[in-house]
Amino acid sequence: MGHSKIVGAIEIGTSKIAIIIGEISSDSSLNIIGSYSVQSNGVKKGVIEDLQVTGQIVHNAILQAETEAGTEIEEIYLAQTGQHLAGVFNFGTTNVGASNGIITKADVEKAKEDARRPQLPEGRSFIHYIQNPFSVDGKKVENPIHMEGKRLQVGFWAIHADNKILQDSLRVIMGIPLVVEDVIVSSIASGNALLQESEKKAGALVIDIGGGTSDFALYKDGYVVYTGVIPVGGDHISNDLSMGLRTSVQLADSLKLREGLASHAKQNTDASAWLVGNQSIGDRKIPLISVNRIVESRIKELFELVREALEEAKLYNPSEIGSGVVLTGGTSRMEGIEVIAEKVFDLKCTKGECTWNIDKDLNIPEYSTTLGLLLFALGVFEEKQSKNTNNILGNLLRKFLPKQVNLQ
Amino acid sequence: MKFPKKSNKSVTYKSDQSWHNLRDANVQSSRITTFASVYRRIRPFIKWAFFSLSFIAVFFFLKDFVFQGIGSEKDTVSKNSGDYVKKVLFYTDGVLDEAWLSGVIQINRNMQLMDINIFEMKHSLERFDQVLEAEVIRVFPDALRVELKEEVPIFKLKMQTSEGVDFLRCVGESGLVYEGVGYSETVINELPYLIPYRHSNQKYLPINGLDHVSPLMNLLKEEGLIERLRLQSISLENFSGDSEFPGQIIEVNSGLIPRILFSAYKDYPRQIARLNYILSYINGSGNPEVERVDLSLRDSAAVEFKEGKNN
Repeated sequence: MGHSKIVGAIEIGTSKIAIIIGEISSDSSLNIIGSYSVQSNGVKKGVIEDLQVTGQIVHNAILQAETEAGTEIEEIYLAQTGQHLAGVFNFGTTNVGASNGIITKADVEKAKEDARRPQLPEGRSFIHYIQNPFSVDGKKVENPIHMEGKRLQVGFWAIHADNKILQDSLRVIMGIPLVVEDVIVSSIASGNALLQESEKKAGALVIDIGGGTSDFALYKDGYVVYTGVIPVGGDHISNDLSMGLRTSVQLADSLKLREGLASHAKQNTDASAWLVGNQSIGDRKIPLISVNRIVESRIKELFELVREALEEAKLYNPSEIGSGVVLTGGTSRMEGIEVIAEKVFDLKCTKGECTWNIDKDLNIPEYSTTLGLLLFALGVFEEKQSKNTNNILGNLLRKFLPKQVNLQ
Repeated sequence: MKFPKKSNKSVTYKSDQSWHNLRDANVQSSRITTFASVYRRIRPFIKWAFFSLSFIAVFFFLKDFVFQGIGSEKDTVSKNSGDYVKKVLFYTDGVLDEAWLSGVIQINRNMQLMDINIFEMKHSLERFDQVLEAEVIRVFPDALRVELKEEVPIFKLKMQTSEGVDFLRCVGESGLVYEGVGYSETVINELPYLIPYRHSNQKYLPINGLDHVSPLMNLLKEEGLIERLRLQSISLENFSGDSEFPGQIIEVNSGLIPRILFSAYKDYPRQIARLNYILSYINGSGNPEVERVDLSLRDSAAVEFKEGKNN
C-alpha cells in the first residue's frame, strides 16, 4: 500500500467558512474524511478586513475539521474571491520555425512564452494562467504538434489579484501553520466540481452566488475563457428584505430562501407568507408580492450584471453555451431562481449538484467550491505521481488499475 | 464510484509575478497567530510528552510492583539490608527527653529500618504511665519518628513505703498517679499536695473524681487564688469521687486559711465568688487570722476565726 496524502480545501467567505479534508491514496482515490462549516466574521465582500477575528475562526475551523478527520492536513488549497480579482486574455503568437511548416514542441513553447510577456502593474500577482486552445493559421486545434501551418497562436485567460489582499489570506492560513499548495478562484473551483467535461466542452456559465459576492466562470470548448466577480451576494438581498419588511436580517434571510421567489406570488397578488414561518407569537403575515418584488429585482440585477460583463467581453453568445447556466452557492437554494436566470440569459438553467455518491450533508451548494478544490488537489496529485514514475512497468500496470473516488 | 477524470488544464501559474512569490516571502513574523494556531503547533510536543510520561509511569509501575513481586524473598531482604536507622526524630508535648527515650527503646545504627517492630515499640512507650499516647513511624529511607502525648500533672501526692519512707508521685488531670519523670524541682514544688480519698491499699490506682476537682483548680488559678491563699494541698478525704453523693467535700489547705471547704457540687463559680468576698472582708477588717471557711453550705458561708468567733 503506497503513501496517501491528507489534503485540505478551505473557502473563507463573507458569510461562512467551509473546510473539507480529503485523503488521496496512491491509487488516486479520494476519500472525504472530515468537514466543518462555521459562520464567518471579519470578512467583507470576500476580503478579510479583520485578520485576527477571521484568523481565530479559520484556525478553530481547521482544528475542528482535523479532529473530525482524526489526522492533520499536510497541504491546503485555498479558494479566492473578491472584486480585487481581475482577468486578462493574453495571446502568444509565433511563426512556425521549420521550413516544411511542421509544428514542433519548440514552436509551442515559443508561442506560450510570447503569451507570458505582458507584465502586471506593481502590487498585483497572477493566480491562474489558463491555457485556451491553440490555433494554427486561425483554425482551432487541441494539439498542434506535428501539424502543418505557418502561424501558431495560443491564448491564456490570466487571472490576477491584489497582493495585499491575497497575502492577508495566506497569512491567516500560514499562521496555523499550513502550506498553501494552491490558490484557486472560487468560480473555477465550483465549475470543476459541478461540470462534467462534456458540459464544459458544450459551453457553460457557472454562477456561484455567495454571501457578499457572486463569482462566475464561462467555459467554452472545455476551457475557462472568462471569470468575474460581482460585488452583490445573498446578504445584499437579505439586507434589502430586512429593511423593506422592518425585520431582522436573519428572519429576512430565512424568508428569502423560503418564499423569496415563490411562483404563486404573481398568480395570486393577495397571497401572503408568514414572516417566521412557525405562526407563533411575534410571527406576522406579509404580502408575498412585496417579498417577491424585492428579491426578484435584486436577483435580476445580479444576473444582468453578469450578462453585461460577458457582453462587454464579447463572449456572450447563447449558442456557444450549450450546457446553459449552472447556479451554485448558498443563495442558489432559492426556489424559482433558475426561472429568472433563464429569462435574463435566455439559456436553460439548472442548480448545480455533484453527481458522485457523496454524503448529502456535503452535496449542497455551500460546499461546491471546496469540493472543487479537492478535485484540483486530486488532479495535481495524479500529475505529480505520473511525473515521478520512471518505471515503465509501473506505468503500464497503472493503466490497468481502476481510478476511483470514494466520496462519503 | 469511478471518478470522472478532470483535465485541470494548467490553472496554476508558476513564474514571475506569481502568487507563489508572495507565499514564499511570507515571513514568520507576519503570520496571524491565534490560540488555536499555537495549540496546533505544540500539539505534537504535547502528544510526545504525554506518551513519554505514560511510558515512564508504566516503567516505574512495572519496576515497583511487577518485577519486585516476582523477585525472590532473598532479594527483598538483601534490598532492605541497606536501610539502616541513622536518626530518631523525637517529638513530645511534655518533658520527656531523648535520654529517657533511649532508656525505654533500644535503637542503634546496626538496626535496619524494616526490621524494627514499631508496634512493639509503641506499646513499650505507652506502658510508661506518664505517656498517654505514642506514635512510632518509619521515615524512609533511614529515620524513625517517635511522637508522644504526655500526662499533665495537677497535684503531687505524698506517699509512704511499707518501710515508712516518704516519696512523691504526680497526679494527672485524669487522676492517674504516676512517677513523674523529667519535671523540674520548681514545677514539683508549685504543685499542691493531694490528699486522696481513703486508699485501701498502697497500689497506684487512679483517684476517682478528679474530673470534678480539675475545674475547681482551674478556677482558683484563673482568680489568682493559688498564690493569694498560698495553696498547699487539696484533701479528698471527704470526697469519694461521686458528686451526687450527699456531703461530698473538697478541702483546700492553704497558708492564709488552713481549711477551705468546697462543696463538690458543680457551683464552683458561686463558691469562689463568696471566697473572694470573704477575703476582701478579712482584708478590710485588719486581717484577722481565719481558721476555716466553709463554702459547702448552700445559701451561706461560715467563717471560723482563730479567736473562736464565727460569722
